[in-house]
Formats: sequence, C-alpha cells, structure tokens
Amino acid sequence: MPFLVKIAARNIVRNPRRTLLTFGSLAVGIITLIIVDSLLGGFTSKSLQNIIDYETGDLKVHAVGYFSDRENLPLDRSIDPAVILPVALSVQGVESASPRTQFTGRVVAGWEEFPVLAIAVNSDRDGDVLRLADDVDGRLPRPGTNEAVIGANLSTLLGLEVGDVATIVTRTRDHAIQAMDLTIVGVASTPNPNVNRNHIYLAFDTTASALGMAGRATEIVVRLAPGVSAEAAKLRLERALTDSGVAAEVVTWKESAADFLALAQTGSATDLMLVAAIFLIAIVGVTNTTLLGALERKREIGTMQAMGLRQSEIVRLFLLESAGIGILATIAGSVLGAAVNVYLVEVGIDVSSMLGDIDLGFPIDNVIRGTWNPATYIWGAAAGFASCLVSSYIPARQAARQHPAVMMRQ
Amino acid sequence: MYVNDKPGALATLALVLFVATAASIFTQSAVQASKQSELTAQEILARVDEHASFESAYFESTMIIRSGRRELVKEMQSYSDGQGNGLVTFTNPADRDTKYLKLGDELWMYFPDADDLVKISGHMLRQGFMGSDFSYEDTLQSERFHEVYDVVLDGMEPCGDALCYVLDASVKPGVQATYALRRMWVDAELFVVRREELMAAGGRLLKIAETEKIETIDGRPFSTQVTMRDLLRQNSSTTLVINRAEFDIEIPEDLFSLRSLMR
Amino acid sequence: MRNLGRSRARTALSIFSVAASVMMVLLLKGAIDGILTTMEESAIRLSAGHIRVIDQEYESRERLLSLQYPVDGWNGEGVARMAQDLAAIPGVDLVAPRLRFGGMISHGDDLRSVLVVGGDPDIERELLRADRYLGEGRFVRSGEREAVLGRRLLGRLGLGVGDRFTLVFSTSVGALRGYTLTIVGAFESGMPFLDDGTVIVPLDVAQGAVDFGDAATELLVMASRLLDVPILAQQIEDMAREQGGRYTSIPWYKHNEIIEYLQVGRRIYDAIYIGLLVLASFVVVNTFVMIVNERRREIGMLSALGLRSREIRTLFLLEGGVCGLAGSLVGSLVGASLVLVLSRVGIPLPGADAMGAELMYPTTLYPIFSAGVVAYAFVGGILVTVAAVALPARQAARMSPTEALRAT
Repeated sequence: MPFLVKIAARNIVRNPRRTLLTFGSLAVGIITLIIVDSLLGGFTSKSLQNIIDYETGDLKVHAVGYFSDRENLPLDRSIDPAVILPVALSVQGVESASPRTQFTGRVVAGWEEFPVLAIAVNSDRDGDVLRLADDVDGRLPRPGTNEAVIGANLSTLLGLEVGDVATIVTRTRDHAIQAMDLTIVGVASTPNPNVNRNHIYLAFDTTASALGMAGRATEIVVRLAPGVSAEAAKLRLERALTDSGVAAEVVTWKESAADFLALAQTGSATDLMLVAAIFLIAIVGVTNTTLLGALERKREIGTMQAMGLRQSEIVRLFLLESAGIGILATIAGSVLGAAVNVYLVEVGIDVSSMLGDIDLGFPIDNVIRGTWNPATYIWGAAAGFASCLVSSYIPARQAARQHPAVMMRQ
Repeated sequence: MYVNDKPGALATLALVLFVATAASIFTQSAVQASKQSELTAQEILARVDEHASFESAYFESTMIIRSGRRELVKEMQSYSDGQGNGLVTFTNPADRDTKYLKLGDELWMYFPDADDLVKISGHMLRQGFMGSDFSYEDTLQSERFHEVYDVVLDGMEPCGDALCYVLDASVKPGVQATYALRRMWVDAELFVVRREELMAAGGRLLKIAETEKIETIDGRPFSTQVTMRDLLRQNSSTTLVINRAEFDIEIPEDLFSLRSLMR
Repeated sequence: MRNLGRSRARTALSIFSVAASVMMVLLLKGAIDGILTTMEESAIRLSAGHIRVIDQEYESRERLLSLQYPVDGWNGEGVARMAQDLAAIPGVDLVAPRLRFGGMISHGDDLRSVLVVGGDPDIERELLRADRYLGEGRFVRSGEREAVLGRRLLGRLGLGVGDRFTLVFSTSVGALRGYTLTIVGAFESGMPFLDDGTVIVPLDVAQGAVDFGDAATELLVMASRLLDVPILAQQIEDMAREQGGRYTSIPWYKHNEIIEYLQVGRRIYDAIYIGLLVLASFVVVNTFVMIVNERRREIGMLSALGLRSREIRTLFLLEGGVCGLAGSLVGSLVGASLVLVLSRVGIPLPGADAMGAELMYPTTLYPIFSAGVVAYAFVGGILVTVAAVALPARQAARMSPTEALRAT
C-alpha cells in the first residue's frame, strides 16, 4: 500500500497541469460555496439583527409560564431583577443584562388615540444590551420620572414631539385601570420599523410601581459576547439559575422572534437550493475532469498492468490519486474561501450601489457582512472529497479491466 | 368602560342591563352591625340597596353614547329578575332585535342575522357595552362589591341641593377589580347615589358618574338619568335615561334561558 | 468531425459538462426568481395591489381597521363609479374594491379575531388566483352570505367546507352585529397571512354588514404591465389631487417594508446568481482546458503532418463550438422543460409552517419560466465553451511538434 501511495503521489506531482485542472473545479466549487453561504448568512442575519438589537437581545429570562402565554403579556408572571441579574451576569459569555417590562396600552393625545406596546426600561443598563439608546433623538426616560420615548411613526401619528405630554391608559397587574401622564423626552428612529411604529419606552421604576409590580419585571434581556452561541449560553444560564434555586425560563432570540423569522426561513430554503446547486455544479466539474483524466491515461494503465500490477491495485492507485487531489483541492478551496470569508466578515460588501434609490423610510446599514459557518466548510470538504472518490472509481475499474494490449494500442 | 356596579349611580345601569339586586348581603351586615344611631358605611349601602332591589323589573331606556365627534342613540327594553338574570332587547333601527342575556355569571348575545348565540368572553368582556363607557366585566363583577371593596364613611357633604354621605371604597389587596378606588356620594335622605368617582390606584380620576334625575317609582327613589364620563378620552360620555320602569311584574317563564333568546 | 467521433467518451463528457452547467443555472435562476416573485406577488395580490388608493387619513389608522375613512367616490358618488373611472385608464388591467374590517369568530368559549375582506367575487377570483389556491370548494358569490377561509384557520376553528359560523363585528356606526355565514371554500395558498386569519366574503355582503353603502376601505389597481406602474401611480395621484386631494395612491414598492425588503433580497440573489454563473463557466472551462491539454500529443502529430497553427486552432474551435452547441442545446432543453413543468406543478417546501401570519411565505415553490433566461443560458453556454477552447487551443497549436509529441 505505501508503495501505491508513493506512486500516486508521484503521479500527482508529475503532471501538474492535469492535477490542477482536475482539482480546479472542486476548489473553486468550495470557494464559491463558502462565499455564497457566508453572504446569505449575512443577509439573513441582517434582517434578524434588527430584532436582536432592538427587541429580543440574545437571550431573555422570563418567569416560568410567561413565554407560552406571551401573547397576553401577563403581568402576574414576573421575575425579580435583583435576584436574576447577578446570576445572569455570572454566566460565561454574558456581556450585559437589563430588566424590562412589556405591556399594552393606548396612548391618548388630544383627539387621537392609538394602541401601543409599552416597555419599561432601566436607562442605565438598557443601552448595554439593546441599541435603542443609539437611535433616540433626545434621551431615554430617567429613573423616578414619568418621561417617555416614543417611536418616530407614533410621534407623527399622534402629533407628539419632545416636550409634549400624553396619557397612556393600561391595566395594572390586578387588572385595575391605570393612567399615566407622560412627558415625551425622546423620539426613536431606528432601523426596526416595529419599534418606530408601535413602541413607547418608560422608566422602569415608576412604571413598576404604577402597575403594582413591586419592582419586578416581565423579562431580563441578555446580551452575549460576540461569537458566543446563544443555544450554548442558554444552557449555561439555565443551569446557573437552577443552581441558585431560582425558577425561571430562558429563551434564545430565535425562540423570541419565531413569529418574525419568515424571511430567515426563506433564506434557508433558498440557501439549501444554492448549496445543492453549487455542489452539483462542482461535482459535475470534478467528475468530468476525473473521467477525462482516466480516459487519457489508458496507456499508462496498460503499462502498469504489463508491469504486473493487479487490477485491484490499479483501481486503488487511481483512488489514491483522486483522494490526494481531493484533499489538496479541499484544503486549497477551504483556505482560499476562508481568506475571502475573513474579508467579508470584517469589511463586508456595500450594497448601496445595488439598491439604487429605494427609500425604506428608516435608516438601514448598507453593508452586508459575511458570517462564519463551520458546518459549510465541513460539508463542502466531505462532499467534494467523496465526489472525487466516487467519480474516479468507475473509470478506474473499467480501464483496469481492459487487456494491456488493447491499452497499449491506444 | 364602566360597569354598572351595585351600589353606585351605576346601580341603575346594572339594573337596566342585567343585575337584579338580590337581597342582601348588605342587609345582612346591616343587621349584624352595631346599634349606633349614626349609620355606618355598610348600613348606608344597605339602604341604597333596598331602594334598588326588586323581585322583578321591566325598563324602557335610552342610551346616548358620545365619542369624539359622534353621537349614537340606542333604545332598549329590558327585564330583570331577582336572581341576577336579565334580558335586554334593542329597539333602535341600527341594532334592532339584538339581545343580551345575562345568566348568572355568563353573558350571551343574540343577533338577528346569526344562527347561533355568541358568548361574550375573554378580552371582549373588558370592552364597552355597545361601544359605551360601561364595560361588560363590571356588570358581572358588580354583584360581588362587598367581596372586592373595603368601604369607609368619610363624613357628609352638600351635593347639589341635598346632603350626601361620602363613602370611600378601596379594592382589597390582591383582588382584581377594574377601579382601584371609588368615591360615592349617597343622598342622605333618598339613599340614592348621586355621584360616583372612579379612580386608579393613587387617586387619579378615571371616570365620573352623575345622577341627573331622580324619580319616585313604586314608592322608592330611583335614579332615572345617569351620565358617565370618561376623563381620559376627549369628549367621551354615555348617558342612560330610563323612560319607563315597572317593578315586581310578571315575567314569562324561562324568559331567561338560551332557548328563549333564540326565539 | 472525425476527431469528435473518435473518442466518444471524451466528447460525451464535454457535452455533458456544458449541458449540466446550463441546466443547473436555469433551474436555480428559475427557483430563486420563483421564491422572490411569489412573495412579492402574494404581497401585491393580498394587500398592496400594484397601486392602492385609500383615504389619506386611513393610511395611519389602517392597523385599527377603522371604518371611518371609506373610499366612496371622488365626491361621495360611490366607489363603484370611481372604480370604473380608474379601470378606464389605459394600462390598467383591473380595479378591485376591498372592504376590510375586523371581526371575531366564536370558537368554544373563545372569540377569535379575524380579518374580514369583502371583495367583488369575479375580480377577486382572478386576483387571488383562486384557480391555483382554492384547495377545496368554490369561491364566494355576490349577494350570498358565504365565506372562504384559509385552511389553517379552518383547522384551528375545527370547521370545514359546508359548515356555518357566526361572525361578530362592529359596524361603521358602532352597532354590534353578528352574521352567520356558510363556508364554501378553503384557501390553501401557503401564504400564512391568508391561510391563518383571513375571511373572504362578497363585497356587497360586507357593505351591508357594516352599513357602508356603496363604499370600500380601499381600491386595488392592477396594471397590465409591471413597468407601467410608476406612470399609472402618478396619473392616479394627479387625478386624486384634482378631485379634492382626499385620496392618495400608493404604488406597491412603497407599500410596506416587506415588499421593499424583498427588493433588496432580489438584488442580493441576482449577485449570487452571477457568482453561480462564474462557477458554472469555470467548470466548463476546466473541462475543455483539460481536454485540450490531454490532446497535446495529437496536436503535435497534426502539426507534424503539416497543419498550420491557425488550422489547428480552428479545428479545436470548431470541435469546441459543436460540443458547446450540443451541450447548450441539451442543457437548455432539459432545463427549460423541467422549469416549465415545475412552474405548473410546484416544488413543495419544508418548514414554512413555523411562520407567523404576517409574512407571506409560500409552502410550494413555483419556479419562474423565462424564455429570456433560457436564451441567455443557451448562448452563454456556447460562448463560454468556445472561449474555453480558444486560448489553450491557440497555445497548444503554437507548440513545436516535438514538444507536443513528448507530452504524454
């Protein structure tokens, strides 16, 4: 066997052109796969980024039973931030955490009234977890006040600007009607249209007491360090909570945003198709070149048979060559692909030139960044390598079966 | 939306809509109350309750709903029995033949264009009755006033050309109620609620109900015109006018049943 | 020609590589276009129209499904006349008046909120592609208290075609009303928005139900050609302004973020498609370069036999051209037929069920067949092949015969 390996290696090196051509398709295929996958990942995560940055964070901690009932925004399923924040911050991978309470209400301003989603936030901590603070024209509501930040669309609809007063009518934890007079101190114009159209942000402490919540919150929003897997962090956080004897549930952004994930789902279906297409094209390429290579080497095969190599050894030789080329191609493709991926992730592609004059009505970041998806590298390598072997097996066997004399004549 | 609550100016509406005063809880506690010459809060409410109670009643009434720039007028005929059941039939053109049936704790609606009855439940309960400032849930909660609120007497005040007892009701801790605080002005002679203020926890005024007319029917004083104002909305109020009231009448058997609702 | 015949395997392989590449490209473009177009189309047919005409005040209160700002004619003469006026504009294919309002369906102890859409049955049948998306039963008829519900909504309510249900709603004058309707059809569009929470009823029944008279909440204008939309939108906007400025016209691409977002997506996918073309081309090039490479000995011999460089090069070009032509032809034909068939039949897509009703994600993918794309792919296949052959052929032809003969 080692003998064959040596011959295989020598064959590979001896005919660089053929080697290059054979593995060319595979390498380029892998590179294309990596690039496309990276960009698509970037594109879908872009649409999700708005939700993660403004609504769900990376993780959320709720009271047990809140999440399944979340449509009703039940205020009686609440958690104590004083207990949960320290636990959350102690978990590996967690960068910051902040309490929030969500509830529905209607904002009344003069003749206009409109249903809104009201969110009580802790201005000191919220900016570390979610990006609202960056996009407010004005400031976040200060603790101990009845100040409020209102989404830009709501501001226009209700005719409310910084300095104006509006009333929000809602229900307390015990279902009693409650009304709060709010002074607008900021208008939020974010890349998240949901925020702009539906949200009003209030101070956490004053709201909690107005709602009879006794300082409790409906959720703790958690931001993870870059690169940390949400699913893994969720498990760690759950364990930490159990160890501390705290009853709570943890959900990832994917679970929180399940209703909005449609476009991401599109991504995965088309991704799958693209990946399949790339595979197929690359495999066609590999198969072709391998087969062609085998065809051209019939003479060589004849020689080898004449030299006494058995059929099985010849087949194995070809397979080894293919394997060798496959490995080289995969490595080359993966490395080059990774290099491009680095550029995509760090620098990204500016799509504004492609967008032309679309005015989305809210600010959008025009750069699509790539993503790292180790699975892609593995799949690409495995499939490519496998196709190399498969496509070289049959012609190898066929060629090897022919009589040496026939070979020599060709 | 407000509910018509048992003691209170809203009592009238409750009567009209659904609730019959059963006899009472208040009467009971009045008996057990101290024999002081001055009345306690419970005793005052018991008297109010007496005036409002009946074994059966029939009303013809008009409800004027003002909301923003619109004004809607609804006409109703209603029956109530002494056990918390009631039937309301609408007679104005837009809502003609629509009916509400209160059977104990349940509220059902009948629509002329529908094959079956609709039960009012869930978030619809919190909405206003036919778009008015009175809500369904309060109608249902009203019978349990004493379970929900602690009531104290806060002296007396002039109200209009009469003198009123002022009662303060606050929701018992942990109990769910639409209004955390209520303040009632009960006419000291007639024992009819003249004014009621409904407030959020902390005292913020949410709604005000004022009795605009009191008549004597069957020997008892009865408020026949009440206006409820929603202070949180611009120009939002509902006026209920009782045009005709008959007490202790004959009610057809099984009038208060789902089957008869369908007829 | 003889050369081609001589090594049939080689020829077959080269043709195959071209054919396969062309076919993959066709299929993929059809599929991607299919997804994006379907989503755009759903949004257009269901809510945006090509151009949407509404009362200016309605736009901001739309989410409340307010009935206070109807479209009832330029000057109150009725929406029917207004629809006729708009339909008369050249370039307009059809005008669909719609009355949208919120209602509740009682289900056990619950009242479930639904969106009720009243539309003209003849127009809606075409606009909503009833032929494709009506899974069971038939569409509603004017004047009848009938409804078509999405299959998923039916499932959640435990109802089926033929059953009756009661819808509770508020009229435009604040009366509470209940109607019993018969379910005559089930929608299976794969668009959650439609399948999950929408009840379709005849327009006249809706108008009577909410006391609307001859009015609607919006008019959807569909153009015969997508390209005409900006011009038509401007025309209608001008008309509206002349008539008092009460109404506004909104073209589909400004309807809401979903559509705008899809447009961004479309461009991203176009860019990716180009990447794929590059890959496919590379494969073809790779194949032919390899072939030429392997045939250097042959080239040497031909050269020794006296053929000039140019003739050798021409020979290869011809061979390449023929292979390219054959490959492109086969690839285009097979690819095009597949896309054509699939565009009618559809490819079932997994996982679309997990979505909320806000977005319109199809559960079946209908690739788009485009003769233009086929033509491009066909021509492209040939061009790439010839290019792939040209350079190495020239290079090989220039080699001296002895060099060539030495190569194995």
